[in-house]
Amino acid sequence: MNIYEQQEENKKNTVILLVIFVCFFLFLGLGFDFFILGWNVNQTQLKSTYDPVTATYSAKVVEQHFVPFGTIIALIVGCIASFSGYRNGKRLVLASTGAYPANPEDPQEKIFINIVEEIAIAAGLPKPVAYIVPDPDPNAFATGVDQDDSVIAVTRGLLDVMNREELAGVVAHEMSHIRNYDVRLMTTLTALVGAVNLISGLVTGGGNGRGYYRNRRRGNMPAVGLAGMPGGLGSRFGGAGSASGRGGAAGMPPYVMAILFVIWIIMIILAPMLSTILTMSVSRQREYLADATAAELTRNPKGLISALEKIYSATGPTTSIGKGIAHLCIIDPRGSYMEERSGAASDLMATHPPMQKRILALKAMAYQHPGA
Amino acid sequence: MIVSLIVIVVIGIWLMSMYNGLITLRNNVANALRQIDVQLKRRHDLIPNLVSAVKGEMKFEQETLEKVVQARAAAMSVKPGNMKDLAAKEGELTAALGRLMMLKESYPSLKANEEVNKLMEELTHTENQIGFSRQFYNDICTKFNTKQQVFPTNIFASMLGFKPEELWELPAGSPERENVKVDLSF
Repeated sequence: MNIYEQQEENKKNTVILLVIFVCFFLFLGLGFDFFILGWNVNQTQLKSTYDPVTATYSAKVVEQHFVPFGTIIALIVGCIASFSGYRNGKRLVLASTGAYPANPEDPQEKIFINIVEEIAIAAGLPKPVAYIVPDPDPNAFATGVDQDDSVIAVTRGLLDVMNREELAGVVAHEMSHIRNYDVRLMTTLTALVGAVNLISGLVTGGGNGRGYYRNRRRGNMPAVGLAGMPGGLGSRFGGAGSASGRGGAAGMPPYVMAILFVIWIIMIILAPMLSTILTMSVSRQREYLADATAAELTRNPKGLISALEKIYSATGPTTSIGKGIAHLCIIDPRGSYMEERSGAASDLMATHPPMQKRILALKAMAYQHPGA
Repeated sequence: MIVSLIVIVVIGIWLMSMYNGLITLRNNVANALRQIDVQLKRRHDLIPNLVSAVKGEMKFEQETLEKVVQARAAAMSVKPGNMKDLAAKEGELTAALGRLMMLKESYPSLKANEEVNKLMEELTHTENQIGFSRQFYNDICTKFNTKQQVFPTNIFASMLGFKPEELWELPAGSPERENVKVDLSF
């Protein structure tokens, strides 16, 4: 597939994953409202009212509109949680990695600054600010939710090993993340993930929630975590009983409601893992997309291929870069090569696709590999 | 009745967004065309100044180096046995060498080699900028033309006054398409 076809494919896959995610969230949220809070679609009920003037009781048909509070509140809490990451993400990320602005007096850093300017022209974007991370392991990342307020940072280790062509490939990959609004996308996804985990935490009594809180303390940025509410609403399971009673009102036989309830419970328990898997799948798609867009910007996929090979062969984790921004880097900074191991866990949970697959895709763009 | 109203509103919104999209792209195309000239002017203004600055550095060092070479030649041409003359010429050589040492110590970063490297990088950078700005112009032209020509926008595009833009290309038979000959011999 050429550079344009690969971009279309990746964008399409992203949309499919997002739709799945939203449906998953709606299933959980509305199920929560239905089974736990006893929400039901608009019902007509008979209400008795007392009229003091004539001192009589009469029956009135009243329309009750139930609002799915659980879903709405979870969504709002998730948005608030990710809002802080949205506004402060760039500042926090730069501070946590110890990055400093590139110095035009140093010849290597001047070359890097020049390359950032060139690729910004090729992308039609305002020039991002160039930062250097003082780490000997080669890696790079981009951050900033707005196109005119972004940052591209590379480690000193990267500047030492790359030639100009390879450095241009790496900078183009990071510029692609900015151009495709990937930071914005991933920050928005954390809002959904936060909402999902909130609902899950409420139902399972905080067990899963506490696990998520532990993740946050390890420095998950700018995905701001949500603490699960302890002591959930397990007692509200009583509401499920009456829900199945009211199942008749919703027009479905009770055994269907019971099956749906069981499915919903399973999903709730698996929710944190499922939402992580979905987020990581989106992250991998965006990495492929960034590779394809980088090839379009430089019109030189070989530069990026040789850059990736050099970066992967330099073993060792990039300690300065926390795992919270792993999805924004060019390879996983944890250095555990999770994406290289075969098996379901790494296929689903890795932030980046395996290197060989990325190189094959790039070679297809350079017409050096059939199909792919 | 309500349905037809909704349909009309939806079509109206679609028409508006299509028109605005085409206007934005047309302006982007015009901007991209002018950006090429921005880079060309930058090259025109910057490179001659850089080259003369480097030449000046090289000349400054070259003069000092020449004096050293001359002093050394003079010292070597002294007839053997003429100690006074030799001492005088060696003294001049020492003085010239001293000036060279002082040059290197006072301005350690102004070695001509480094200046030439900086000039090379700046030349590469300038040419890359010009190339990328032409590439971007062609990319955004293509995007604009494609957007005008797909269905159903193509029905309205020419009505609203949009026409396809020309991409940048070298004129037919341009010598710039030839292979460049690199000749490093003296």
